[in-house]
Amino acid sequence: MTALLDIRDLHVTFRLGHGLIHPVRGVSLSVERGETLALVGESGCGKTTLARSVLGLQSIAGGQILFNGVDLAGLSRFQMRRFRPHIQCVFQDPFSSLNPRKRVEVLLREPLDVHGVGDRRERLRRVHEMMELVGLPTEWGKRFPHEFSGGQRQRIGIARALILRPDLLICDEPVSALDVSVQAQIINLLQTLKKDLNLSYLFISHDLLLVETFADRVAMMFKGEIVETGPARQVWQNPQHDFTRRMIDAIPVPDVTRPAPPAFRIDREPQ
Amino acid sequence: MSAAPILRVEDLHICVRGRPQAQILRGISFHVNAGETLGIVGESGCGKSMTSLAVMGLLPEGVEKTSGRVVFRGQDLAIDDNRAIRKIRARRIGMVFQEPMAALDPLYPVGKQVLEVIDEHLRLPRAEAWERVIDLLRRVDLPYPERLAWSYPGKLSGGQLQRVVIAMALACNPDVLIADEPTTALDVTVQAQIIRLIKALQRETGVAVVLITHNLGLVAHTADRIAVMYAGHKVEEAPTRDLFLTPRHPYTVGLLQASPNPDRNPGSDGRLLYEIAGTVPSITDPMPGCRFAPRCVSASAACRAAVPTMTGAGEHAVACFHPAQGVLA
Repeated sequence: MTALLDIRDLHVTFRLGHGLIHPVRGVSLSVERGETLALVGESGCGKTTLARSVLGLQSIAGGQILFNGVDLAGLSRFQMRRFRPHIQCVFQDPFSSLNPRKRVEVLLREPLDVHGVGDRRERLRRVHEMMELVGLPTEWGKRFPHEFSGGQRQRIGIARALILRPDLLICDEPVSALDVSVQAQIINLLQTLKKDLNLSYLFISHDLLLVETFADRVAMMFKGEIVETGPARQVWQNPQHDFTRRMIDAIPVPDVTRPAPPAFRIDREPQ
Repeated sequence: MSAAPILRVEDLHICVRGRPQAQILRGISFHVNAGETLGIVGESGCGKSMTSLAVMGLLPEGVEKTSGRVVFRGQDLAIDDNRAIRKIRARRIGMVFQEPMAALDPLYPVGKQVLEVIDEHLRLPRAEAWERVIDLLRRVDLPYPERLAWSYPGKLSGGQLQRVVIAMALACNPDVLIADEPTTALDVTVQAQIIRLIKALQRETGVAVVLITHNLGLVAHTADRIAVMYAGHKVEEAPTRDLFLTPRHPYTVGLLQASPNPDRNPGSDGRLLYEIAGTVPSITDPMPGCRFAPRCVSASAACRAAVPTMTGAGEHAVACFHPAQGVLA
């Protein structure tokens, strides 16, 4: 069986002044059906650029992006439209990714309008169904985004991404703007939705400690390349690449029975 | 290490200007000793940043202090208009903010900005002041300080900028360093470098550090003592080990359980992470009791009727009518 998403030797380049920068350098990775793959790296490593190219928001310089065996990179804009409902995205900042002048009901209905799904009544039914699924009372549909807390707004973002019933959800740092207690709510919600709606996730994060708790596999990205992949727990317990080791050495686990992260020790010489 | 508190905050109340019912801080007290690191932990909206701004006398326009004192070496710093007091505050207490880019002027070389602090407070001869700038930049482990001093902020990385901000905070050899989410905008490996730098400088100078953060992992491995804040109240305070091993306030317990930890197994209900249900109450919410009660699993009628005060044995104090007993699983 083919993987749901199979990226092969992907290259992305940007023109910058007279030069050329190369944020994604020959990345190959795959997301299986029903899998959560976490893509972990530090700022500027190219992880968001990679996600944008899968969504068709970023032109690529080389390689293939196979979705269900079809190369998205070779599709025309018109052909790409047919695939958009299958790949959706949840963004990092729930404050800037929702139009402040539209009511929640309208925000959630928009994807259905764009893709011409059902009639008016059917769309409203699906909006309410989705609100319940993500834990928002349906009577809040008439409210505007600013009336919601950060966690509630991220629920709206998730509902909007899921309303077209995609197969693959790309989550780009969906909880890094949220507090710890709210972060737990959203992670648990994503986990439940994955089971109930038969989803697969490409979960982009800088937080290896967080993804260790719920990702199936982890791909470590460093300077535009994937330097290590493996089962999440195995990467955490037995990192192979120097970059992964350096990151784990710097992560403070909230547990006083563990020794301080080696990178916190002042008796150690800086590397 | 002297035992006398170097900085003490007593029963600080802050509200929205002209709206006494909109309380941001509802009576915050803490102290920090020389050479010690106090961690202040809480989620957004708990008032932790407002606390640091109040100590620095930098409260924004729209809010006002209604009562409470900020005492530095026995002297009340609350008389905001007094020049001498302002000087103590500026020289003896250094502050590091979350966004290094926002703390620096993009149009001046970073060395000039460190120099400005020295000129304002120390009145050194020109050459000597510049020497001090270079020395400070060297002490925060910036490479080629003579050259880097002439770089503009846009040319430096986030970690380098935060080092410059720390150099500015240390320019007058302060007794207290307040670091408000100093590493939140940085990558985890850079965070470790900044934490190591602050710890090394503390060992060298004996400066007291108040580390304000939402990151429990960070305080677990840096703080000597921790105060937990929720919705404008301090709800628990304890030596770091005690707080993590025997947390007593249900909010502290919840926070610890909600944090990802590779050694802890997921809950029996099949959920991956423990959730604290609900959200933080609005600052204008006039609820008479404990502000955590609506989200609390152990709340009773008593909790909804009155605000619990801090009680406890020794150094471990908690503001709760039904504190947790025993060791966190």
